[in-house]
Amino acid sequence: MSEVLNRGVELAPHEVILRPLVTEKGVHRSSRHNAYAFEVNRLATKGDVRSAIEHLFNVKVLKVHTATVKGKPRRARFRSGNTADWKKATVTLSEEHKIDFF
Amino acid sequence: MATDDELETGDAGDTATEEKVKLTLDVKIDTRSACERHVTVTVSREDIDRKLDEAYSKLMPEAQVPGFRHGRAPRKLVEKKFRKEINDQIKGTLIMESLEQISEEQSMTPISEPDFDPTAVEVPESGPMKFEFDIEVRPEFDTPNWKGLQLERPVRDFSEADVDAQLKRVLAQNGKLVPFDGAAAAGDYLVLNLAFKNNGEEISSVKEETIRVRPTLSFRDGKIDKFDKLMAGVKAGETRKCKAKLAEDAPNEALRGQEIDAEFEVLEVKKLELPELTPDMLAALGNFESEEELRNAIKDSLVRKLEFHQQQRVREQICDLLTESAKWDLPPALLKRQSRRELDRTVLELRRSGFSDDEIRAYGNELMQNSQKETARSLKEHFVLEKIAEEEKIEDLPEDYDTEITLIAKQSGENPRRVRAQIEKRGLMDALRNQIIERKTIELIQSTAKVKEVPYKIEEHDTEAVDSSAGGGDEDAIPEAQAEPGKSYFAKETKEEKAE
Repeated sequence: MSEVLNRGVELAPHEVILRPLVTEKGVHRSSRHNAYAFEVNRLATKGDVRSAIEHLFNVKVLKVHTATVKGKPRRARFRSGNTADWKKATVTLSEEHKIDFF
Repeated sequence: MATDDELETGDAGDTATEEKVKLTLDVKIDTRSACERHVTVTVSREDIDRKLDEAYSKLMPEAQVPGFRHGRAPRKLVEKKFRKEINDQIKGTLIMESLEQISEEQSMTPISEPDFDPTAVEVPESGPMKFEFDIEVRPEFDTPNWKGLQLERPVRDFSEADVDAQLKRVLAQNGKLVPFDGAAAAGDYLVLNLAFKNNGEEISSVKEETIRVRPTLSFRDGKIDKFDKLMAGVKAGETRKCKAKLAEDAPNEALRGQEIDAEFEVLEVKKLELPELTPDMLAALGNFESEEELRNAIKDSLVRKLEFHQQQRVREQICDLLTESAKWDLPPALLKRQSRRELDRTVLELRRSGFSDDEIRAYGNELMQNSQKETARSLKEHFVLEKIAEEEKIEDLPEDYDTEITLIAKQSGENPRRVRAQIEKRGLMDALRNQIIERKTIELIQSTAKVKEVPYKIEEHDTEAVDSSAGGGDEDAIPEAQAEPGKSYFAKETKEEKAE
């Protein structure tokens, strides 16, 4: 939290975790490795994600992987653009904890 | 394509096995009257769960959920996403299946669609599903003994004189009304101002109506007997008064069954001049080439009318005998609904037997006047006949419809296909079906009955119909179904036929 304070921005847990990513791959990972994927705030750090998840779902987090997913190029007629970049976090939980998305 | 076929046969197999599983239903039937039942159905939770499971299992291989390939989404997610659709689907199948099962298991013979709102039923998250509906059923009764009834059957060979009289009547439709300066006799036409009064207060009036002097004058809600005697010798400018009796179910409730004063102010007396039988006239009457041909056609129609009369008479006798024992009450709501159907049926029958619009209209007026009583009677007839038909396994075959429709078409000179389309459009197919079944049943009863032949007297066309209410309280004031159907059938004719 202190780092966040140092950056001058404080993100509440619900601002860090934007949405769970419910996909085939995600379901596979969650059942095989007890790892869950979320879309998170681009400013959030692994530490932010960890504490937010622990706070929101009341679980113990083992490790957090994050990745910035680059936006995809999109074109409408002669105007080309990009979808926004976003950050994905994959959170591995300790064995005794589970998250039920659905 | 091959895979499609496989899939289909696979499905059919599934449904076949599904059908075998019976639902565990808790059915409560409240008897409200002889014909009305209130049914409460409870479908057990196991059945709901089983159906849900089947539906989801069927959906799983093809469920599309974003983020997953076809059919790869976990079941829980599919259940969450498709819950609403599946619940609706389950609700439909459960209701349909339970209704089917109820009609199989319970010994009810429904005569109407169940009155209930499927949207009001919900598949609950837990616990059994409940729904209720009202239904009208055929009352239970013992089939009366119908074998070997004693019947009378009117018969007559039509002579040339009969044909002459009928020919006159046909020509009269194309006759000209000629002003006549003198006293009116029966059969003449009068231009009248009619006024109906109760205790000196005018209730309704009709201006400049052309009326033929016949023994009976009928209105939508009543009639005047001995009208010909009342009008005998009347001249233009004179006024005659008499009493008119209103029917028991006249629209004006205050005056039902009462006598009111009728006043006829004669404006003009007219005589009917019959047209010459010229080739043009023959063509106009229906493309006849010679008088001989016309006479034959007239004889045909007389024979058909006799057949109708025979049928009607036999039917009346049979029904009187059969419904003697039927003493149950019928709910008024049912009667009201049926009275319209009854009217439709009668009109169909009349048209088939070659009655003119004029006659149908007169008959329709009479029918509307005692509609309730009439309907109750014919409903009972219908129940008894249908029960006999069921026991004797009498069924309606497609060719019956064809013959029936061809007959109607012949009578009205229209294309059979067009007649069929019209009947279908008006929703009279049901009436036609009942008619066929009842006719066949009556034929069966007749074949076992002992018939005594009695001479048939040609019915004098002695009723003149006026298409308005004497007692006021017009259809606008009382928007009842009874008055309306009459309009469509019977109102058409007045002006054209009597046009001078």
